[in-house]
Amino acid sequence: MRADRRAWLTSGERGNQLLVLVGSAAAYGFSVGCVHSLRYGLSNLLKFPLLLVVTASVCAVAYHLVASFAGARLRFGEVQQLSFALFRDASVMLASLSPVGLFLSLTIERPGALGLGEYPLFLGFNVALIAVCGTVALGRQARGLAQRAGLSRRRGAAVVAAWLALSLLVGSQGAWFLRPFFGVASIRAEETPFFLGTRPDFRGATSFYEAVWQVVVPPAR
Amino acid sequence: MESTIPSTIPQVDRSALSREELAGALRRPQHLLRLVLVQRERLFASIAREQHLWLLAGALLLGSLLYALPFGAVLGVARFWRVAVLLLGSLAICVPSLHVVGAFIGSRLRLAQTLCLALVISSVASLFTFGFFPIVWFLGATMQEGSAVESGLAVALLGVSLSAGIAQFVRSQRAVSLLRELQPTFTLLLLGWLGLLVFITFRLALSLGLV
Repeated sequence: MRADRRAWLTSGERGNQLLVLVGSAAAYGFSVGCVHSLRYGLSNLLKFPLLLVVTASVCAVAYHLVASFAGARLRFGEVQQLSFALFRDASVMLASLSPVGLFLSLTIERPGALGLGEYPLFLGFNVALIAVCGTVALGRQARGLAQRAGLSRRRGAAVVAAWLALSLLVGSQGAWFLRPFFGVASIRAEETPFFLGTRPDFRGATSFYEAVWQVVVPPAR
Repeated sequence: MESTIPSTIPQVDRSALSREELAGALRRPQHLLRLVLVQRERLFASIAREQHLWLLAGALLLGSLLYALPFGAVLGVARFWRVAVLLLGSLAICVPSLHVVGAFIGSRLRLAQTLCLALVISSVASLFTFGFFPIVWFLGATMQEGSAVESGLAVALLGVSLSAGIAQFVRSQRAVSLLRELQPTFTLLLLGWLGLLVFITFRLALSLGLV
């Protein structure tokens, strides 16, 4: 983004950037939600931006502390601009891939009575897209942070990596709480609430971390 | 010969903190972050040069106390004081040993200096718990009540906060040792003392029902 090369953003520019983030995240969310149904796609118009904004807000103070601990001489608002830019960049890149996502959503072999069809491929493809966009945004913001905060590039990268770890800690649980985003089309959209919250999944996990643990150590039946 | 250092690199300010700055931090604890993390070279210089140490200790103590309260409140409103007691209580138990054994091996640090060095741990840990309390609150709000995962993550974040405090303490100890030409045996003592502090903190966390 052009703004990164200039001085810190004004409040009007920050508002525009927020709109860019929300719009981009909504576009990508809609495209992937359509793999299930239009209803899921429409829900994702709200859920995807909400996930990113909640994650950034909950981690805001921790981002600032981590940057200060690494020696970055930045104000709270400046740290928020940099961390926010990380989410915005990733969202914009994902939005640029939303036509791809939408095309795949509409054309993959649907899950049915015989199996999951091409749904695992769709899922894996989107995880890869998110990972690639996140990594590119991360590298870009690490350079920006090093330049602006007078940090070495290595230390800048360490700070951004710590931000990423915090974001994953919060964002993964947030995504769990707001699920489903994609879903298997064999489950009727009308039967699914807007978000499932702490409702147990098919293995009985009630949080993201429990679900990960149960993938590693499957519960006894 | 001309310097090859680019003129854009800011020079590090190593002047000791003034009485006004420390009094300001006592009046407005939100300034503690700047003193402890951002202007840490100045903090270390203040400790090494023995500038307004009791005022500095007061500011660090107040910050340690106040910033730990929200994290404690998230873990249980009725016992909001537990995290502050954990951070300051473990220091209170361990600081006498650091000062006395240090004196025996020639640390040449005054009590106020030892106290300020130790309070760097609790103040930084406390600041980090302040940064983490919204995260712990969010995890608690999105998980089932009494989830073991939630309490496990809260303990992990408390551990990260303490580790950050210890890392800052090691930085400050290095700077102070360099400025006061302390013997390498003091560094060895500090390593042992940090082990003791971690052990006591863990035991105290058990007693307070945090672990």
